Amino acid sequence: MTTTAPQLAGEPAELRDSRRRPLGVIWSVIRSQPQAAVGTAILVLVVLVAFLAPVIAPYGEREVVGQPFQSPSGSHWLGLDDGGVDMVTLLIWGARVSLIVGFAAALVAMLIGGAFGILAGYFGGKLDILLMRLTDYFLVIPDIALMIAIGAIWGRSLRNIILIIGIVYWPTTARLLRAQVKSVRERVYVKRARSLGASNSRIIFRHVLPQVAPLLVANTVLTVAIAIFAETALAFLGLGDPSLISWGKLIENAFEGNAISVDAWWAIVPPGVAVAVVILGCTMLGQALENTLNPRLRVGHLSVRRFRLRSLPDTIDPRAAQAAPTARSGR
Amino acid sequence: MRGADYVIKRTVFALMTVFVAVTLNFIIFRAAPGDATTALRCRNCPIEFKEALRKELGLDKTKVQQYGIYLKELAHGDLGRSFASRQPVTDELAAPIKNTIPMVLLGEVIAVFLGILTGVVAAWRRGTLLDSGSLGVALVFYSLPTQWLGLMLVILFAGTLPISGIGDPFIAFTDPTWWETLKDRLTHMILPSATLGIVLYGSYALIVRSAMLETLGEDYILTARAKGLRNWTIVWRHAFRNALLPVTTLMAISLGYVVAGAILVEAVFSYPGIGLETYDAVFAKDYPIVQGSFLLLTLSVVLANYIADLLYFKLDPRITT
Amino acid sequence: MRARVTFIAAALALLLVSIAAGCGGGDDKSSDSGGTTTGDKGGEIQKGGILRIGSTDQIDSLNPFVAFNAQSYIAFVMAYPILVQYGTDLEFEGDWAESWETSDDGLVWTFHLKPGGKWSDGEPLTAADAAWTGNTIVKYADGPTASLAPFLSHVKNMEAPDENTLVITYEQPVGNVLPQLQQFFILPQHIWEKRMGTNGKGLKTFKVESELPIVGGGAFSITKYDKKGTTIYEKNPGFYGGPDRPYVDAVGVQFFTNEDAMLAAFKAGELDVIDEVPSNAVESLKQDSNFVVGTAPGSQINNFAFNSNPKKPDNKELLDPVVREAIAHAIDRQEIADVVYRGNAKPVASIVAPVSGKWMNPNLKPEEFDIELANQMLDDAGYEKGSDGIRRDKDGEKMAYEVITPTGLPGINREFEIVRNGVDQIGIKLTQKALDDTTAFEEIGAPDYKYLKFDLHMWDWVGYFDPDFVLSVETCGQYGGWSDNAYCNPEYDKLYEEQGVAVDQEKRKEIVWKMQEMLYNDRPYIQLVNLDYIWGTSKGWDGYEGKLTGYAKIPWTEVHQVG
Repeated sequence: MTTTAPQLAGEPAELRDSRRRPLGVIWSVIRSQPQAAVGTAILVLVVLVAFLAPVIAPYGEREVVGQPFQSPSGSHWLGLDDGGVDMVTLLIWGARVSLIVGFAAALVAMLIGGAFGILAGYFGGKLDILLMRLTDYFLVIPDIALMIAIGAIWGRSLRNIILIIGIVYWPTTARLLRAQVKSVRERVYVKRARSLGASNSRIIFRHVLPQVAPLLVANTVLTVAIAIFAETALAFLGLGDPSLISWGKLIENAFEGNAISVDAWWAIVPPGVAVAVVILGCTMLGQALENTLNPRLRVGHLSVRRFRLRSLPDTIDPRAAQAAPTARSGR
Repeated sequence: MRGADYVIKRTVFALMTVFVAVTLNFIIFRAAPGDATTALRCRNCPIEFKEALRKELGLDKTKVQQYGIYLKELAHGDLGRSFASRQPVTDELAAPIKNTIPMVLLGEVIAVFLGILTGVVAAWRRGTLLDSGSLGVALVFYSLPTQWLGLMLVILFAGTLPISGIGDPFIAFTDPTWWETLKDRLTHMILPSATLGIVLYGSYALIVRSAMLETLGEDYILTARAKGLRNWTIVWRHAFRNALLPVTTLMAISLGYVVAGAILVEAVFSYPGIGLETYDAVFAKDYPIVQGSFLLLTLSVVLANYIADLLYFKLDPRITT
Repeated sequence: MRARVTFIAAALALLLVSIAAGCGGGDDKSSDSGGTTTGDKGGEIQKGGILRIGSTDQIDSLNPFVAFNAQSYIAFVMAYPILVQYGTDLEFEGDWAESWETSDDGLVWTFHLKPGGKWSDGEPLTAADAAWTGNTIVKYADGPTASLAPFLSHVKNMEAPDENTLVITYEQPVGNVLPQLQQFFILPQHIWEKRMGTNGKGLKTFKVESELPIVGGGAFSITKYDKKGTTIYEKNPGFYGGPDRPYVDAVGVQFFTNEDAMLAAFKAGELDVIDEVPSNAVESLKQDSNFVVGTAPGSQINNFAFNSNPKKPDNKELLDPVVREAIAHAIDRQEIADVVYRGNAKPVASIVAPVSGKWMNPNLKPEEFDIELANQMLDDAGYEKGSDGIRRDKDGEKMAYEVITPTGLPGINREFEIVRNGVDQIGIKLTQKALDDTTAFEEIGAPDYKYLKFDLHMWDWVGYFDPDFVLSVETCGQYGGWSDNAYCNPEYDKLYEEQGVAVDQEKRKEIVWKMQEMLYNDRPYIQLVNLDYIWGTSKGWDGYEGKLTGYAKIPWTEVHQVG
């Protein structure tokens, strides 16, 4: 493309200006788009609640304070669960495990997916093909079924759950990053750096990574949403760590404890709402970020959760083809 | 020629993925602890009996040999025999798949319907409260954990609609008509399908909306307006048609995944489909069933993606590559 | 445009077709409904109809040599002739047998059978079938027929001098012949004999459910089997107890994976009986006038088990009787009964349940829940508490252990929490290792049923009225069989043999009491609570004797609709 101004066709202003400050990019998006701001606010609030759990929880999280499934009252706003423990307390403490699993698993996915994507995009050639084949295989395996199988084999522990979720969900990150890295590679100053003799790893870390970081973060935020959902799914299917309280576990407890038969809606509704709120927050923030940073990626971000699309724009979206032929040149 | 090139590339890719999937399936499950004698719960079996059983099931051979046998049988369409029931896996999986597919299809129909409705309305009234409101609602539903939404539906409809099974098992005794049987099946299917549909429609809504917005802003729409065509004609004939393209592709792809993803719904509604079957088999360590089911699910995803690729290629008039 | 419309139309057509196809063949057998007749007992007995039962227990196999689950055994009791069954008063009455006598030396039992019985395929049911079944089981007792062999222990052989007489000869006089024979299912020789294979191996691999209808000689035959769905039993016209029984034309047992779903179906009128009511729902069901809740003492006892293998290499302090007793004092059984089972359970001390009547040793009492006492005991024994509150054993290692729990046991998670909280207060830390039933049992036996690895687990036993079975699980011979805690005490084994052949009931009772005392003192288990058996019937039905489920044909032969 052009020679002097290192600029990608269709590149949003935010990205161009703040190229060397990935955090700045994110902050500017949050500032400018109300959706992102709301999402961030939600997340911050939930993290705070989880952090302050020992302080703000009204009762002990294992403290039996009444009859199982006692209905809501003045002293117990959301009633009691099937063991007679205060639901509000459980919700607050449950935030911890749910968030930890969400963030940790997303981190695992980010590390693996990021590594795969960057390596494949940067080096291209045989490595690219190999890594992408592997990625495609993981994309094609039914996610929840794979988690069940691995969970049943490895056993139920917090560490395993985090690993399992991370392992199953890294492919989309990899694909996304690969596409981004490929386009970054084309930029003039990267070429300049290479011709000056900079080593590969230096280029990757000092030039490529900061460029793709904002998108990586956006994708990770969305992965947090999926990870939290996956945790509830695993807990519901009986694969969660039995000694930990998480929102998914609360739903499972209610289900196992026959909450439905006794109309104990207070044992079922709150944890689901809590999960939904966090997922909503992540989705809002992540979606806003992705929309801004990579407007070509229209299709797919919501879909990431339910079915992990191979990025349509990468391969056959004609609009993308017209907009940035360099990205598709596959070099 | 370009077209044929593309098709061939996609076909090769699909086949290769299937092969890798088959191999990795084998590795995961044969490398796992527990074997046939476990699945038979052979507590009182003397040791010779267990050895004989292992031999009969071919578990005494080396892993490599087992892999070879597995591939050979696969080529003949033989997925092996269940450890627990000793019946062919294909027989055991037939009924669950027959149960899951209509339920998932109905869920997709609901999702597409709601998605198109929401997307069209949002695009048509872009920028208004209706736009952000309906999208917001879609987003909220999207964020709900599937099993939780299922439980909510159970709570709401427990008295009015059946909340478990695929049908009344005793219906045969009342000598039902064809219509009565269908009605019975549908009433049992509606809640699980609705759950799926509600959590899915959000993504369709977004896609329909953005695709329509794209088209609505394009030049030939302005031309149509200038010519004096009425608003809704524009919307329907042009914008909507183009929104259909990504929706169709999305549907094709998602079909592959949703069959497996339906497991949460099947668990809540005790709906005996392929998801629940896989889940039970994993815990019963009935590996041939698990392997067979994984294979089928993976195949369905690969097939769906393949069809989506071809569809996209065929339906989009602008691909000239 | 057209392409897309066609596509959508095709998709919808596909949807409809698949729904219709999914309906698959469909069972279009309709049975005749008996209609209303005034019953011969004078009450308003409505004959006919189909009894719809809901259960959360699966029929895991229709092969009696393979099946494991209680629901399967119920199927066998209903479909096959058994010589005797428990009656309403829990005394023995004849099922197929009209009467029986014993020889003076107690070695020969002669059963006179009700004549005229036929198998559901029309073949005559004769004593020869019984003799063949019995001799086959005895012959292969070490192999394929091992699971049914304990019910014919010490049987030498069986003979059928004529069509309606069965003579069983024992090697030595046996004290509990009738309870054992109650589980002796008589199979159709003309179906099974040709499937024996070499050394009887075929018996264990015979896929009975692949040949429906299952030929039954009892009150029902099985015409439809779906392990995960509904199994249908249809009235056997050749039933020796007929033609007036069973009142119903058919029984259907529908399996549910989820108790709530079963309860909802029951309340909606889609089921007539549910064989177990979840504890949380008992109260609300009792208050609903459309249903009748039946309660009876149950046989299930939940327990806390110690690995009692003296050869276990690690954590040998758990073999210390003082440690075991201290832990027993730290478990609040009443809380378990109240919270987990909503009062539908009670604390117990013996492996034999109160429902066994005189066989349970009433002198054994559950240990008092007394944290102070437990702490005192451990302090005195030298298990000092560290700075973290956790005690150390004689080697200075933390007393922290994993407890294996089976996911298939309802209420186990809550139960474990209560145990853990109590034991925590005496300085011992427990963590839960939840595994599915099959894996749990493997881990307990690891490696290879040598029981060297596990420390603790929590599970249950469901015995019979007769204590023989539940006492047998603690014998040395059950390593690799039923044993889940590697208890092996030669003196206990000797007593077990003795009670098996004690013909004098009083004497047998003494031995059985002594065995329970031995277990109580050695404490391989801490018995926790005994669950009531609670079932539900809808108002439109009468005569369902839930407490005899698995023990007699009576629940299904006597049940009837009411006008």
